[in-house]
This record gives sequence, structure tokens and C-alpha cells, in this order.
Amino acid sequence: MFAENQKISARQLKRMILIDWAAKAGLLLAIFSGTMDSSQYLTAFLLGAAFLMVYGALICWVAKHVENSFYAYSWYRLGRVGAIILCLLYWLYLFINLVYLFKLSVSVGTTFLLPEQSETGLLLLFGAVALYGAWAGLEERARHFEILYPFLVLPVVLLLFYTACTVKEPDITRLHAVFHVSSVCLAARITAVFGGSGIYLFLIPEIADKKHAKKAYQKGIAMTMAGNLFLFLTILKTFGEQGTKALPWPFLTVLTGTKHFDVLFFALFLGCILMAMSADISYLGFLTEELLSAKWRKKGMCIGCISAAVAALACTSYAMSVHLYAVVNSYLLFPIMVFFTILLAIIEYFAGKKKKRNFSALLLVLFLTGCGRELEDCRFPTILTTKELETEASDTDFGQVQYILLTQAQAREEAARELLYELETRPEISRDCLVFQAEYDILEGFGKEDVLKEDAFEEDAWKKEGEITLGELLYYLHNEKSLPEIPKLKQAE
Amino acid sequence: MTEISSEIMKNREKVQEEIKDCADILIREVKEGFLVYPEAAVASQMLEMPGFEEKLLLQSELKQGILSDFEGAMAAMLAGNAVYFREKKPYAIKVESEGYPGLGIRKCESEKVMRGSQEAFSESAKVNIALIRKRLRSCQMKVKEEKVGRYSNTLLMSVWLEDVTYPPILKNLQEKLASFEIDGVMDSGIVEYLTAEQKKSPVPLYQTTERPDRAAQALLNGRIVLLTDDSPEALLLPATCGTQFQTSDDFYRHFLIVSFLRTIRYAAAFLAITLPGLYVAAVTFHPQLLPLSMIRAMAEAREGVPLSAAGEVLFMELSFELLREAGLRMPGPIGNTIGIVGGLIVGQSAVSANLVSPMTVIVAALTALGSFSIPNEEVSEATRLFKYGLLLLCSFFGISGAVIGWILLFGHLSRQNSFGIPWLYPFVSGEINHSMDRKNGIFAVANSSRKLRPVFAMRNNRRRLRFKKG
Repeated sequence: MFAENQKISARQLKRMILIDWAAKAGLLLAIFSGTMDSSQYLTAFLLGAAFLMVYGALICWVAKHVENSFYAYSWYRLGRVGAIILCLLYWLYLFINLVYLFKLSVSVGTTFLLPEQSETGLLLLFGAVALYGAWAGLEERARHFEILYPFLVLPVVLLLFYTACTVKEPDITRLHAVFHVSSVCLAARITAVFGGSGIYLFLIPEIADKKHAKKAYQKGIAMTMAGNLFLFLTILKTFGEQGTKALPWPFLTVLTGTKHFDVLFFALFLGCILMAMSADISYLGFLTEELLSAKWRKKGMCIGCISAAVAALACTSYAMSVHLYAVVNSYLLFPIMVFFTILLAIIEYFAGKKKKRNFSALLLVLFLTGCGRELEDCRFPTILTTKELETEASDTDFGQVQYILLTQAQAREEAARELLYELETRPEISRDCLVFQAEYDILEGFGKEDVLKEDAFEEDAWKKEGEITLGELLYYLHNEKSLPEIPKLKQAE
Repeated sequence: MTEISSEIMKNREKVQEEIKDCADILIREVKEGFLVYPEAAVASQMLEMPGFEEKLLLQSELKQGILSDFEGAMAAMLAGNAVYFREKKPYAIKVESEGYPGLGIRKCESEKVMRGSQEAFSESAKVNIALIRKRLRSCQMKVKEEKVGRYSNTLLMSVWLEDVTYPPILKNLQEKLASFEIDGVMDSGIVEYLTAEQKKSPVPLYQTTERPDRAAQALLNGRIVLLTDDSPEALLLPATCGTQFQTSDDFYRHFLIVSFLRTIRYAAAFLAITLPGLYVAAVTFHPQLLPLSMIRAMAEAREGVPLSAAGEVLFMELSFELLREAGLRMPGPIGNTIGIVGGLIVGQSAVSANLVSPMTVIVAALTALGSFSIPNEEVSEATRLFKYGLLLLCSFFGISGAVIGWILLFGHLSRQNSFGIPWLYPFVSGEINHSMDRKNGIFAVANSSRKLRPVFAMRNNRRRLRFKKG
């Protein structure tokens, strides 16, 4: 029978991907846009999209070789332990994702739709709805996504277009992509938002038309990214750069431009989130089934859903859930998942005997030569002067910096603010660094010989008029009207 | 099985024992034997006709309508025929008669159309099959008869087109029909709910029709028609959302008009389910959805109304349900009057008595109109149930309740299958049939472009239209 073959179509896959990502990506990516200036964010976004397409292509390439079950395939290629680790990684990724979505749904609900409702009540309701959506088999769920797509996504897109059209100054020609090193980091984070797309590997055996599935998958990625880019540009032109940064929910606030219909949009958006939650819950069940047995599928879903709801309740704020997502999923799990995917691709590529030999040779060469930079070729300054920042060489590593020295001119309010914004974008510079202002000739005295010299200013030769860390200054920068005076550093007489 | 004896006395004793205390079944002595028949089903004119007994003897010699076992003979008699037992013959003869009285062919009442036949099914499955055969004069139209009901022995006829119907669907139906035993089947509805895949869902997984032309069209599309004796409605299967929202004249009219009308029907269904809930959500939770002037007018109208917005809507909806039920049970013309006049009077009076606001009456009326516009009564009834669920959710969670309600509803609908076809077809899994059915979903395609049969038909025989060259 047509309806009982437990296969899903390429079109259903595309719609599942779009609904699953639309909600999550819309909010997460908008948060990132507040961390840097628009032009740099644009670069990061485009880079992220490119990374994602590459990652997607890699997933599709691996998927091409999966026949009956991805778990069985990874067992065959990586061994039992490797397969279990991979499944556990995805399980954890999806769990954290679910915690984030729980918190997101409740936050959207209480902020925009039902402010008088209790968080716990909403959490229970949303959890029940998502669990109901996940309870059915894959085929029924795919149908559910397919039929909901025009009701959930299309009106949101239309409302977004409407908002874009009502922006008074729709001139975005001044915006251009500016490359910055930090853009690459952000691009990686943007890619990590879609890290769960690897679950597609597990779905592959259930897709009826694999030939079209790859196209549908890539189309899904492209459409999500295009939608988010459009959204970003709309937000930017509506609120401006500073305004966007100041808003906690720029994606949602932008839709208030639709006047009467904003509530409708919030509700539809909430629907997308609920469907994304149901997808996550069902994948949790699916992975539990792979790891344990078929009878554990529904138990796995219930356990996953309940524990994620509890974890979401434990997150005291939405920001905390974002932070959890960023730390665990983006920084920890996603890179490992990418590593495993690459590893699978390499093993698959070199699966033949001859290829295996080549692969071994390649690994050997890589081990012998190494891919990174050698320690001895690097500079690790402990004292950072602005001169150092300006003449940043490729061999300089700022990970060991202990002191930041500014000239008296730079220590003045306006200039210091500018510099602090610049320093904030350099995650490699520790927030515990002490910041001083000093005479120009003192700064001139620091050169290459001061590298790797610990506690340079703890000696008697130096006199400090107090201490302040970079972290404290950054706090003042964002939360106080003016900066405190930066302590002076003088040579003892 | 008991064989018929060649000793007439033995047969007579057995028949008498069988029909003991059945005053409506008579035994009549005829030349060289006896006839047994239900009094109301066999016309006395036939029995009194000159040369009738000679005809019986001839039929017996020719062995026409032969019945070799006793149970078969009794079943044929109970089906409304006369049965002739003859001396020294180890068989009986079935003598066809008019059969039990019925309503006969009527005019369509519940599936009115602008264009097309006005004939409706009668209550006799035999007559109904003739009405379909009249439209499909091909031996490819196969009919399978079977009896269901331990006491009712109701005749059930499955009809299909041999080289068009997808065999697994037929097999599935036969398995389902063989899967139950019941005392009696009084209507096709009993068969429908006994064989439904999802017994707890109010969503109809069969389509009912009283129109022979529609049944014939369904057969041409590869579907199966199930006729039940004593029921004026045929069951069509498989049934999907797409077929439930089509009317038979959809195939006879211009596709643009049909597209427009279908859009209206789907919008009506949406309205019938959502409007009361949306109204409550807008008034109670999200007044910003409404223009200021409207809010003012509504606030003024609601002044002095003791019920909450949700209470008002529930009151009006239940009043309409009451009127609908009363109208249905009342004799024809009075029933119609109750429906219309009652609605007006109750609405007007409720507003005057400050029981509800005028806006609520409008909402309830629009909702009722929406549910009446759905061409299938079973779907319409299901929407009425869903409406209350959505109303409840909206009264607690505002517009998010409406979204949650629709998510749950679609989740439920996507789990429904009718004989292996998703109920939401062609809006889901539409690519099964090269996306052709999807194009004929909300919007209709021109008849000349509908070259393939829908998904129900056999895979290798989907071509329904071919233009001749020249």
C-alpha cells in the first residue's frame, strides 16, 4: 500500500528541514548579528552559508553510500564503539537543541502571546503538543510537516515581505561584506546552528527517492539561509545597527511593523517551534531505538522530552539556554560531529585496498609534517601595546597577554571606548588582563625581547596607581555611562 | 450443508419445522410439489397466472435456478423469492419475483448539483447495481455478492472495474469484510465503522454517495463501490480529503468555476472549524488584531452581556446545534422552516435579551454557513466536533491555542489512511501519481488535461484520456 511503506518523499524532507530550521535559525542567527558590526556579520553569514553548503555536500556524499541503516553503516565503517559514540553525540546535540527550543517556545509564549500564563504551564502544554506530533511514525510525521508547511511558513514569509516593504528607507546599498578574522569564528558558529542537519544521514534509508533527496536537502539549506539573510537585512534596515544590538528579539520585534497581524505571526512562529520540537523528540526516540531496541523508541521520546523540559525549567533565562546551546552544541559537539562526518567520508573514499594504502600514506605524511603552526615559530607577547595590535603578524599569539598598555591619548574616554570595542572582538585576549596607561616613551621601550617574560610589572622598578582588568572595563563600557580612569603605570624613581 | 431429499414429504416436514411460527412465510400446494415464499415479497398475481404451474414444471426439467442444498434454498426464499420443491427431485428451484417492497428510485436530496443526473440510489442493492450498470455498460465492471449479518443476511455488493482497480485495495476490502461477524446490518454505516482502520477518529474514511453517476465516476477512477441492501447510500473507497471535497458536477463544469467553488469549500471548512475560536482569541486575548473602531463597537455591544466571550460563542453554537438537530428530525418543510426562522428568532431574541452580542450571532451564523458548504455530510459533522476543541483551546491560550489546535488536528489527520491512501492526499504525498492529483486538489484542471486516472487506479493502467490524431 502507498501509505504504509514507511518512506518519505523528497518534498516532505525539504519541508521538514525548512520548518525544523526556520524557527531556530531565525532567532539564533539574529542573536549573533548583535555581536559585531553589520558588514562583518554579513561576511560571517555568507561564509557560514558557504560552510554549511560544504558540510551539506559532505553529508550528501556520505549519505549516498548508506543503504539500509546509517547506524549499521557507521558500525561497519567505524566499529561498534564508533557508531555508538556517533549516535550518542547526535542524541546529546538534539537534547540540548530541545532544551533550547523548550525555553524559546516558553519565552516567545510569555513575552509576546500569553504574558499572564505561567512558564511551567506553557512548558507542559508545548511539551505535550510536541510529543503528540512526534508520537507517530516517520511517514505520518512527514505528512504532518508537509501539510503544515503552507500554513506555518508561507504566512510568515508573506508577513516578512510586508514588513520589508513598509520599511521607510529601504536603502541597503551601503552595506557591504567586510572580512575580519572574527567573521570566520562567527561563520563557524552559524554553521553550528545547523549542525543537527547531520541527522539526515539517519533518515536516508527512509527516503523513497534518494536522487531527489539530495537536491531537496540542499534546497532546504539554501532556502533557510536565503530567508535568514533577507530577515537580517530587513531587521537591519528597520532598527539600524545599534538598535538591532539593543533588542533581545530583533526577529520578532521586526514583525510588529505588521501592526494588527504581529500576534498572528508570533503564533505561527510558535507553531514552527513546536514542530521543530516534535522533530527533535522523534529523532531522540529514533536514536534511542538505534542504540537500544525498537521498543525503546517511545520510551526514549518520553525520557528525552521530560528531561529536556526539566532542563529548560532549570535554565533561569532564555540567554542561559542560548549560552548552553552555544557552549555544548556549537563549541563542543558540532566540531566532533563534523570530524566524524569527515572521517566517514575519508574512510568511504579510501575504502578500496589501493585507496587504503594511499590513505595510510596520507595519514603518515600528515603526522610527520603536521597541519598546524609550530610552537617555536610563534610569538607570545605578555604585554600588549596598541602598536602590537596594529602590526599584528601572522606568527603572533595573543593567548598569553597579561598586560595591556595604552598611551595617555588612548586612555581618554572616546578613544578608550573604541579600543575596548576592538578588544572585545578578540576572544583570544583574556578578560583578566590588567590595563594600564603609560607614557609614550615607556611603550616605546617594549619590544620583541619582552616576549615570554612573566610578571613583567611585578618588579620594584615599576609603580602602579591601582589595577583594573579588561573584563571590568568592558563591563563599564556596556553598563555604565562613563569609563573609570585607567590606572597609570610609571617607572619607580 | 443439508442435501435436499428426493422424498417430498421429508422436504415438506423440514420446511415446516424451519418456518414454524413465521406467519409471513407461506406454503402453497402446486402440481407435483409445493412452493414456499414470503408473502409480502411474492405477488399473488404471479401465482394465480394461468400456466404458472406448467412453467414451474418446465423450469424444473430444465434445471433453471437450481438449488441443491437446503440452506441455500431457505436463503433464496428469505431473500424474497419463491422456492419450488418437486416430487422425486433432489433439488429445489428458485422462482424469481418482485422481491421485498422498497422506496424505488428517488430524486437526489442530499447531494444536489447544478448539472448532471438527478437520479438517486434506491434501497435495493439489486436496483442500485442496475443504476450503475446503466452508466457503465461493460463486462469489466465486476460485482461480488456476499451476505453479512447472522440474522439479517444482508446482501452486500462490491463493485469494481476489473482492469482499472488496484488489486491490493480490493483484497484489503475483502479481508476486512471477512474479519467480522455481526447479528445484523441495517445500513452501510454499520459496515463502514466495522471495517474502518481508525475506529476512534470522527474523520470519514469512506465516502458516501446517493448518486449513481458519482459511483460510476468513482469506478472509472479505480475506486470500489460497496452497496448494501436496504441502504440508499453507496460507500466509495478509498476516500481522501480531495475526494470528500469534490462534488459530482465538478467533472461536468468549467475548471475555473470548479476551482473557485472548491476554494470556497475549503475556506468554508477552515471557517467552520476556526472562526469561533479565533473570535474568542481576538476578543479575549489579542484585541490588537482588530481595528480600533471595531473594538469600540464590539465593546459597546458587549456591555451588559453576562457571559464571557467564550461562553457567548458556546451558547450560540449549541443553540445552532439544537436548531439543526430539531430541523433534521422534524417533517420536511417544517424542518427547513425551523432551521432558518429559528436561527433568526433565537439570534435576534438573544441579542435583545442582552444574552449575547450581535457579533457572536454573526460568528455563529458564518460558522454554520461554513459547515453547510462542505459537500460531504460526514466531514461536516467531524468539523463540528473539531470546532469545539479549537474553541476550548482558544479560550485558554488565545491565538496560540488556534495554532496548537491546528497542529494537533493536522497531526491527527496525517495519521489517517483509507485503504492504504493517506487521508490528506493529494495535499500530502502528492508525488505518488506524478503530482497529477495534487494539481487537481484545491484547483481543478481542465477535463482535457486530466489524462491520467487518480492514484487509486492500477499502476500500469492510468491513462483515462487519449486524443485521436486528425
